[in-house]
Amino acid sequence: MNLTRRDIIKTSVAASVATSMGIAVAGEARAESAAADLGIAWDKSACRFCGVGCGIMVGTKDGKVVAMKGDPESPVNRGLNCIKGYFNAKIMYGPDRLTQPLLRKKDGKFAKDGAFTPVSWDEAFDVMAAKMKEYYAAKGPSSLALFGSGQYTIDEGYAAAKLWKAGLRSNNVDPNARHCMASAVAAFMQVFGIDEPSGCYDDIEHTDTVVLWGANMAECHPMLWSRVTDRKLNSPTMKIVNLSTYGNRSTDIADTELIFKPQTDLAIMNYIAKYIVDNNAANWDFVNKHCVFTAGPTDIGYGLPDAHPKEQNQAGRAKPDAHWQITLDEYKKELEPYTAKYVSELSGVPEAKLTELAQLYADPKRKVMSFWTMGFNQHTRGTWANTQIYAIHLLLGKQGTPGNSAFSLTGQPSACGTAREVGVFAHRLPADMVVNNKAHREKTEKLWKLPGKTLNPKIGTHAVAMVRGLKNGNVKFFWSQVTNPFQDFANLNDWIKAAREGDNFIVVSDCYPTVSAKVADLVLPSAMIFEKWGAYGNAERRTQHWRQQVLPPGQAKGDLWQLMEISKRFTLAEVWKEHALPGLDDPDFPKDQLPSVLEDAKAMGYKPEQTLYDVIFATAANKQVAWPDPIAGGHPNDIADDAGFFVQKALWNEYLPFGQGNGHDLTDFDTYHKLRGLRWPVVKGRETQWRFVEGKDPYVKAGEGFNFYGKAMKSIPKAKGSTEMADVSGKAKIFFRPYQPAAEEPDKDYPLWLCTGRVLEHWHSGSMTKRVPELDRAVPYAVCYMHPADAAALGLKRTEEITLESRRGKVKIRLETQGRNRVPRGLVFVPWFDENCLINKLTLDATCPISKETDYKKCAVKVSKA
Amino acid sequence: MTVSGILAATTPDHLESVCRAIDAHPWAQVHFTDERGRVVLTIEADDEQASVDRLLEIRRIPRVWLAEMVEVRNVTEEMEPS
Repeated sequence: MNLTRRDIIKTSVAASVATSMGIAVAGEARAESAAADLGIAWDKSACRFCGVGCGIMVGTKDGKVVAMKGDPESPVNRGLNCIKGYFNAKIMYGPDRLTQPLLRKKDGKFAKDGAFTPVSWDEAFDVMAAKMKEYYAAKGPSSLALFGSGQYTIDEGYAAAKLWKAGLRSNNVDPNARHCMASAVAAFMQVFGIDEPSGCYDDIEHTDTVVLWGANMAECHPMLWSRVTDRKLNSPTMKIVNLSTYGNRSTDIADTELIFKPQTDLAIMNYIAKYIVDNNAANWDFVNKHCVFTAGPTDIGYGLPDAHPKEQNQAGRAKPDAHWQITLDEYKKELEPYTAKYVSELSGVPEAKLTELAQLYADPKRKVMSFWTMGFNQHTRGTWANTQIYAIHLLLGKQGTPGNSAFSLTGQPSACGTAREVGVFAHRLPADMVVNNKAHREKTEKLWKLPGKTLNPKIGTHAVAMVRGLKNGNVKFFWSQVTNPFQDFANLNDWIKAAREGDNFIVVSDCYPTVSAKVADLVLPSAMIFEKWGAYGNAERRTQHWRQQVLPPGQAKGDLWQLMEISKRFTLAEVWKEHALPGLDDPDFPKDQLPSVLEDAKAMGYKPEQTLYDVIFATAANKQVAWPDPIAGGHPNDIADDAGFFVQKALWNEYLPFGQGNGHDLTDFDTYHKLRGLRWPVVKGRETQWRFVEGKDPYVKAGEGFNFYGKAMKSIPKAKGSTEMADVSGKAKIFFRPYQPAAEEPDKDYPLWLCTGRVLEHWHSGSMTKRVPELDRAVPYAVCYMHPADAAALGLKRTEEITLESRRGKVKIRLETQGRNRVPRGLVFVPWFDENCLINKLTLDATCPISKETDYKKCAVKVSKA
Repeated sequence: MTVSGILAATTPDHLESVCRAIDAHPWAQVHFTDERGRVVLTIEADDEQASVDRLLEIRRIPRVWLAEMVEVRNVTEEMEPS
């Protein structure tokens, strides 16, 4: 055969791909493939984007990341990359990368109305610390807020939570995961008493049926979708159902598409539960042994400000997460209204399709996986929706065994590993502990070597309350890291105005001049993923660590370093003294007051003049963790160079004991660097694929079959209003939740639903993917997807510019009536990645009252010619 | 000049027609397939932007359920006669 040079290169590329995918390749082609990597150093890492947690191989040359490919050894993506994943290599090299601190100054001094001026790190931190101290002295710990991220590395999130809660004694630290996963968390705690999925991605290869509930996996979780696709190719009986409020690319391989009216997913799930009960399809043996039936208050409001009309006469608002046991008969009675006819009329889904879906779930020969992400979570009844899907799986006993799983997907790479597991929420401490539990605080104080009562027992300000606090003056200092709040909060106009015009100080740590950076008073240039050591935890409980590959550009530094540096500017005398804390009402604390713990601190050997850096980060134990370390294999670590110890490993060592022995076990730092991640609990060196199941989960004893051993919320009233408590330890809860309308629905003035979301080519606010020329060109701007008949009725033509307007704001945007999203009449869809079309100016900041997560999927808008 | 390695997938019964549709593009070539309907192909393009455009064209082929870029190699220098 006469091969040209071009043929040989193509064959080697193809062989490389095929080998990664496990497709048979001839020996010569493999050799061609291997020869092509000369000069590039490859190391394993994790993808920067969604919550799937794909393993990637990062290629560096001459101090720069130059190549990227899927990691063939990754059990998650098995060598494959989505288009965003492939372009990880380019996200760090946008021409407008921030490389030095910028402070708004006028006449040489900080001024809120000043122009951004380059300053040294010392000046940046001095001004920042002075503003923090000014507000801290005047209004106490509750005036400071740190808005973190599900994109924090685990060590960053741990450091942020520890500095804020133990150091500054403020629980006002909350992540952008509040907008993403909080409803999933609340439901995990209510149903199982412990956070995160019982199953894992391996369920895909065991299942016969995949049901998507408002999750467009083809665009938002493409590599998991490739596994679903692969399963479909291999299993002739495999069925895929796509339930959505609009048609999308996930429908392309689905057997059935069900388009339902927004918010009616609640009713559809009740119909399925009723079908199961009416047809005696429940697994009663499983239910009787391992479950209890429960219900909660229904007059809980919509998470809007107290004065809002929707919040009046809602007695359940005071404790929306309360719940009590009900009987099976009561459960059946609650389900009675949800007939096929009623639910079909409500949802717009034909009765036959509803029945077909219920039959798929109820078929005893079928294994079923249900997937969801933002469709359930970003929902004013998000916690309810999550608990309802578990109810269906629990009724059938199709939960937690291979191929049977109600599986909560995540949107961010470490919403699980960092935001949830480390406890970067206003109410949480590491390993599912909470600040308003005395035993949890005491355990944390012991592990962190803090004086008793250092930790603040009052739940802090959640994300939405933080920006409302900027508006009403309760929050004076706001620092965001690894996120883009002034593009991602709903009802943006209010918060941008409050940040720019209020008496407050806004700090944004960022990599590029995002909308949030432009809103800030001080911008801190941050290192990006391959410029630092780190670890992420994905949606299947898999913890993955990576090494730093290259140095950050200019003066950019990691967010961990920034947290450590600001901690050097606070002494114990300033923070561990007595503080006023309005609203603190705890039997172990004086009312409205955090007591001084300085005397106890002195007794423990601390000195008032010591800094928080000494006590929180550079502890005697941590300084023993030496840098350099053989596990680095020559990789850089500029943060450890500065600190003089291996900070990331030290913090990991400190974090480990929180989860050991209570179902959250992780293992040692070095082990993770030798593997492609492990799924917790990791006991005796072994990961856990399926939790709560005998033979799979080391916490379930022989003979138990199943044990839903999560400890939270396992003592509940025996009936509504009862003071007698039932101990439901070891059991999962089957909740009844009613259908209730959305917070804002279309009317004659604003006749269309607005649903926001994502596209494959861009990730979240586009701050990284918009800097990759190939991705930017593929999808350069957001468009408004509309049904052609709706457009025609308004006299609008495809691609023309329109004005989209809600009661809160308006944007100009191009109209699209074709393409990848096929919306029904009466609904428009707009992705939110485009900073030139800030769609969150229109969205409503209504939240699930239990999880406090915003509903970005439903508000009312109108359309007109621009 | 770049060569991109792509993994595509279809059903086994559409494998032949999908491969024909891919090979109909002068810039695309099917290299490997398997009985599960997976297809490994390469795309030639002037640069990475053009290769993304061509990847999107592959995605638009009927019955292609998946097409993802796995690897891209810049071959400008390598294409010189050896």
